[in-house]
Parts: sequence; C-alpha cells; structure tokens
Amino acid sequence: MQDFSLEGIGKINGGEFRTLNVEGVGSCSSGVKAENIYIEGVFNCSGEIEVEHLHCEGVADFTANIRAKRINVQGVVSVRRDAKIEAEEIICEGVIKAGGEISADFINAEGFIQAKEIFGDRIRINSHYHGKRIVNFFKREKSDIKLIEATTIELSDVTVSTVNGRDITIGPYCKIDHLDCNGTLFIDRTATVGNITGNYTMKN
Amino acid sequence: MLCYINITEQNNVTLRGDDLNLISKKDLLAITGISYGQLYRWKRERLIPEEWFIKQSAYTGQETFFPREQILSRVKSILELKDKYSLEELAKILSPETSLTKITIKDLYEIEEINKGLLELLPKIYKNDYYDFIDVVFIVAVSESTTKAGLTNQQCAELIGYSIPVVSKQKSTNITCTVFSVGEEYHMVISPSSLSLDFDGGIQIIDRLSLSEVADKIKIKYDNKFI
Repeated sequence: MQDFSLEGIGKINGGEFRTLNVEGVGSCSSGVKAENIYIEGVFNCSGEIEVEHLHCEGVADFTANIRAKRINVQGVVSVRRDAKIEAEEIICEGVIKAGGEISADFINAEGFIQAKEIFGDRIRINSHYHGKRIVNFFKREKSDIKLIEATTIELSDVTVSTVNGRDITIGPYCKIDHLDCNGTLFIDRTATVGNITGNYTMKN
Repeated sequence: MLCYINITEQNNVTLRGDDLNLISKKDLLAITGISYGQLYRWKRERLIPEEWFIKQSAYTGQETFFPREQILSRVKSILELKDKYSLEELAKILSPETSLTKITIKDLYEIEEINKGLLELLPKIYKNDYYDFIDVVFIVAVSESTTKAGLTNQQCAELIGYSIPVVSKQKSTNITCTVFSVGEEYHMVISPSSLSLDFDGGIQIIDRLSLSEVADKIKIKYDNKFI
C-alpha cells in the first residue's frame, strides 16, 4: 500500500492507501480503504470509507458510509443522505453533520453535532464552550439531534428530541423533549426537559 | 389452503408488532442485562443483523423492536462466547452468510443432532456428493423438529426431499421454515425471517424452524468443520 498526497486540485478514483493526505481541494469518486486519512483542505468523496484513523482539520463531504477506528474532527465533516458513521472513538472539536446515524463506543464532542441518531456507550457533547477557534467560526451552529441512546450520556447546550440511557447528565441550556433513564439522572436548572420516564435516581 | 403473508420492510414495520412476536429494545436490555453500549457495539461488529432493528412509531417519536426469539438467542450466544472468541471471530461464527465449507455424508454422521436412521435415507433423496452448510443446517433443523413431532424417518426424508432444492439456493440463514400438515401429508414453506405467515384453520402448523438459530449452534459446536 502506498501513501498518496493530494496537493492543489485533484481527483482520485478511490483505492487502497496507507496514508491519504488531502492538502488542497480533492474529490474521490469511489471507495477508499486506508490506514490514515488526513484532510487539511477540502475533500468530497462519494464512495464508502474504511479507515483506521480519519483526521479532518479542513472540510470534508461524504455521501456514503464511513467505518473507522478513530475519527478526529477539528474542521467540518458532513455525511449526507442516510449514510452512517461507525467508529470506536470519535473526538470532535469542530462540526459533524450526519444525515444518518452515528455509532461509536465513545464520543467526546466539544463542538457541534447535527445528526439523526447517535448511539454508543459513552457520549459526551458539550456545545456550550465557545473557546475553540473553529467553533467560534461556526458559533451560529447548534447541536441538534433526533435521538441519542447510550449507556452514559452527558450533554450541554444540545437540543434533542429523545434521549435514552442509563446514566444521564443534562447540562446547561439543553432542550430535550423525551427522556428515558434507568440509572442516575441529573438535570441542570437551565435545561428544559419535557416527558421523563424510567426507573432512575435523581442526582443533585 | 390459504396463506396470508405479512411483510416487514427493512427497519420499518408495516404490520402489527405482535404478529412477529417482537420485543422492545428497553425490554431486551432489562431481560438480558446488557447495556446500550454493548448492543450498539455488537451491531457495529455485525454480530446483530441490522434488519433485526425494526423501528416503529411511538409517542416518544420512534421505538425499536427486535424479533424476540432470534435476538434473545443471539444475545445469549454472544454472552456465552465473548470470552472465548474475539468479536471478529464471533462475527464470522454468527454471520447469516453461509459457510463455504462442503462436507460429505460421512462427515454428517459426526453431527449428533441428525437422526442416524434419516442419514441412511438421505443419499436416495439428495444425490449430490457434498452437502453445503445451508443443507446441513436445514437437515439438522428438520431432523430435530420432526423427531420431536413424532414423524417417521421416511416422512422426514420425504419432507427434506421436497424442500432441499429450494433451501440449497439460499445464500443466508436468515430464513424460517414452517412445517405444516394437510391431512396425512407434510409440507414446508420457506420464507425470509422477516415474513410472518398466517394459515387457515385447515392447516396444522407442526413447527417454525429458524435456520439462523440452528446455524449459530452448529457453527459453534462443530467449529473445526465450518469456520
């Protein structure tokens, strides 16, 4: 497997790489399998992505499923239509927009996520902190999700239709329509939560 | 004979949930003691097929249901095997795709779930020298079920003879075989597991055989032959 670097403007047909670097403006018309994908420029891909580590500091636009071990987003990653993001770990300090589901064991977002559904083991989304440069740039964005389901959930300044989990912390400025909890539950006084169900212990 | 088919589109229920004997996600977690994290990790690792996640409208927006017997059996298998095999190996064992291994009639004698009297009749009804994995799973399922129901080896062999050409063409074990009798005759309907079949009162249902459950059991027990 080879390393490949897209500098300037270029187009690839997909394929297998050890490391794919996009530093300019690149597009890809079919699937990519790689150990590492680094995006520092603009990348559009219409094929499926299978990668160990996806790192995006630029702007990436995908229209098919992404399967990764680790995803690190410091820029903007958009996954259109019903395409899915599957990973063991997702770290987001930028923006993720997903038309389909995001599924990961561990998600830690200090940025914004817009998604239809997020599933996992430990999910933490804090959209309240605006210290990061890229987040400031997108500060008009809002974390808006239809469904979050995970063992442990921690949210700040996130709007969600339905939250289901075992241990749930609803932080400042969250807006939740329905919440089902079967462990411990904390709700910040500035958060708005509609219907609450489940067998839970309220934490102060 | 009248047979009504209820169709469940992938991930989107279009019929009454109780027809398929479904279990809600919440009940599944409560009964098995697994967490959301484990459930979704196993889905990502393809240990639980995506088509088993059936979404239905609920007052909270949407609720997910599963085919009860299949998911409970699958979770039990995963919990029993997860310390013995890696998730990758487990995915291979529990994959609905059929194993590519072919075995001979001699190998079939080592599979203790198959009635030995039936094995003597098999070469007369199935002329191939080799049996595909799906054939083996089917023969095991029919043998176990018909023995339990009191069918003779001859009746069981006839039933296999009628059905095996249809079963052999299947590429996935996600199928259900519904054994029924009309008068003295035994027949079978082979359908995707997502279909629910209703029969008229003149039909006596003998058994519904989920081949995916039998396939899991056989792959695990005879891993030296099929993995």
